[in-house]
Amino acid sequence: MIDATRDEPVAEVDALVAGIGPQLSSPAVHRRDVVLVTGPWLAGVSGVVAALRERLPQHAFVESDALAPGDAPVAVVFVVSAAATLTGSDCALLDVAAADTDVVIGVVSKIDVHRKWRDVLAADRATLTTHAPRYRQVPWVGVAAAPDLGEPRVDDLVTAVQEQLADPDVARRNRLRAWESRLQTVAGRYDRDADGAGRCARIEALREQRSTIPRQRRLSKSERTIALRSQIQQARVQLSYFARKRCASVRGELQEDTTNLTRRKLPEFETYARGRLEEVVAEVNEGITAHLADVAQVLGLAVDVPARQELPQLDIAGPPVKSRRLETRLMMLLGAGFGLGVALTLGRLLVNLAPGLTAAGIVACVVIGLAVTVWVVGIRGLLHDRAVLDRWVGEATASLRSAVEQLVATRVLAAGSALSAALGEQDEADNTQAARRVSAIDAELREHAIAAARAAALRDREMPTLQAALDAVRAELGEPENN
Amino acid sequence: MRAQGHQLFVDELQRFVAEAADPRVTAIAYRVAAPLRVAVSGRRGVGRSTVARALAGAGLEVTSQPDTADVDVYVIAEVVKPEDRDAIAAARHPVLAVLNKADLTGFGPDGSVAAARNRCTLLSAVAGVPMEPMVGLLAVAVVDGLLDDALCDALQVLAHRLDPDSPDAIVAARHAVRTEIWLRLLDTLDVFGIALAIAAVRQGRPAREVRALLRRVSCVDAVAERITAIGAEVQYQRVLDAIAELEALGVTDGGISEFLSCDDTVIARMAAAADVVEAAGLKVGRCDDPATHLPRAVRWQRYSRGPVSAVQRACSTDITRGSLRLWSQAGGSPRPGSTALRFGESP
Repeated sequence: MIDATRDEPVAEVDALVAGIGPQLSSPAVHRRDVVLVTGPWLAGVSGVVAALRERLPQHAFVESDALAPGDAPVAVVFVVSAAATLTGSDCALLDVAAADTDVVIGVVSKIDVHRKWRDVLAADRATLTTHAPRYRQVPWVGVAAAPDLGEPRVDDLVTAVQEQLADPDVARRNRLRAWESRLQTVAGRYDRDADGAGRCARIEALREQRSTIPRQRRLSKSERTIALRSQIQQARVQLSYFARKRCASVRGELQEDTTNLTRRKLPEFETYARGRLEEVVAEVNEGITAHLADVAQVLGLAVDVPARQELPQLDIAGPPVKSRRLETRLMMLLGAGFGLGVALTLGRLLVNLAPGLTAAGIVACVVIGLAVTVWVVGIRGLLHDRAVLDRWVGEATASLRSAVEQLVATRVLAAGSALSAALGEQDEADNTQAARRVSAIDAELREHAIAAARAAALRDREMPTLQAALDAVRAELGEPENN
Repeated sequence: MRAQGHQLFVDELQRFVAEAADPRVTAIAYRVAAPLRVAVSGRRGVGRSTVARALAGAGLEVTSQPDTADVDVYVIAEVVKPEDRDAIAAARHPVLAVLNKADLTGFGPDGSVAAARNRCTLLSAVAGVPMEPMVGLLAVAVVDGLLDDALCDALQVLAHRLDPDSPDAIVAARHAVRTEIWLRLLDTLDVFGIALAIAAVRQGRPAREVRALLRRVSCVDAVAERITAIGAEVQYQRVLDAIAELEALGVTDGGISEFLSCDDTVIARMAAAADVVEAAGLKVGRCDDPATHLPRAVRWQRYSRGPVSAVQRACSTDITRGSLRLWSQAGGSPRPGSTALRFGESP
């Protein structure tokens, strides 16, 4: 469709721009020999297209969906309704439709029903001119393309379209406009790259992160130190309480055992009690191990709490049960007296009651007196032994208590120093990691700075040429140079 | 549907104020009786000021400050633009969109106003708010009395001179009146309004009926009713606030608590609540048949237990209470002239 007379001005314009910036790539626009009729929703586009097709069959009129991306029409007929004035969204629509086409005809439709369409037309013209100076020259016409009553009124539009298309300068102007749009886009891209809005946001975020990392480090370090100290203190208090409670309970248990002791079990009791005390030491030790492991876990430290290899030996003397000779003698004497008294009393009673049984009675009374003597002495001995053992249990548990308290103190102390060491190691590891992150951020910031500098340099190198080309194109279009 | 329930409550409160003469209650009554304020906005050239004038003429309180409004009216013409959608989405009050210039939307099979109504359905879905058509110009012409006797006479002359067979009959007949009158007629009614008025005059209707016809076609009353319906929730909220304040005062004042618990007040509250739920599209069933009171109470009590908003729950509670009072009144001896009867008579 593009004939020689069309090619010539295009080549002329290309040469003009190439003279200023030979490296500038020409706009990738496929100029189609059609007139695009477009406009906002419900503006009456299809009515205008139909009317134009009928009145001007020698030209092709299409709606925007008939144009492929990259296609540019020869002219744009922009239809808006006379119901209300042009809005910003309408202007944006026109900007897209007429990006590569200079020839634009403004149409106010439905003038058959909107009596004040001339006011609307004037307002539309003013709005569009304010929106962009390039639309200053746009001719505006009113149409009633598909009126409900009466004849269509499209003569003005037909005349305007014919006039515009008959202008020999159309091809050149359209090419210039395509160049302007292309150069504008490229310049915009350079500006965007150099200003780098996205990059600025990223740099801002990185700086923020960079200042946050050391602060977080300091905070978490002091938090952990405080946590360690409080956990250790807590462990000391809780474990001491636990140990004391175990001592008290084993003491109660053993003292209860002593009250039920029989003579036969007496010798075994000491061994049994020692076994119990050692068990308690072992129990407390286990409790300490478990509690300290919990503390390490709470603090998030991967460290084995130092275990105590040998448990503290309980240094307890045996119960002083054996050495009681004097007491035994005294008891023998008192018991014998008591037994004699019982025998005599029984003997007198028997003689008075049954005088015939004297010999046998005396023997029986002696036996009874003897038995009573033995029993009294035996009971007294057992009770004494129980009292001694009871005292001994008290002493043994007191020494047990000091032993387990010492165990708690030493183990908590050892755990505290072990955990502090582990904390120090972890701090060191965190420091290293934070330093690594900071240096990664620094590297990225440097990269961004380099990229920004490169983009700015590119812009500074390319911009003068672009601006010169743009100025030349705009001068050819008869527009002010500063847009 | 007009929000009569709110008015009913206001009337009851005013009566109580007249009896009690308590300045605190007077202040509350003043607040609850405040009219619904409407702010009108829209793009340039869509007829904002015409719509505002028409709504003010139809009895609504139109405010120029959107902050003090209870309902926003957003005027559009012909189409919803992206700017309109943004403005509607940014509104902070309930919004009613008004499709102005409904006479110019184009002809449909049932006339241009019916075509505009169809367009409203389409655009309402786009805008996401309810929409009503309106012919602002005709509304202003009627409610502001712009259609004076001179213009009515001109319409008579035009109607007599009109040749109905001619294609451009009205334009052909326009020379029968002076140019300035013709231009004033055009400014007042536009072509659609003139055609409508001439057709009515030719049917022999008097000027009063012509005005009524134009007012009906302008849809200004429908818009006003819709605004009132949309504002029913605001009004009901005012009633609830007033009741809360009165309950606080009633702790020390036996007269106020008596007023709050008397049948007429409870039934007025029910009427205000019924307006809200009817605006939301639910049927309350207002009739004076005593047999319906108890089923209604049961239905709304069940409704209040469902997953509904706080306002809806308050409404259904009020409806339940009111229905139970009506039921107990019907079971006893209803006093003649009580609110129950007046309420029952309302449509």
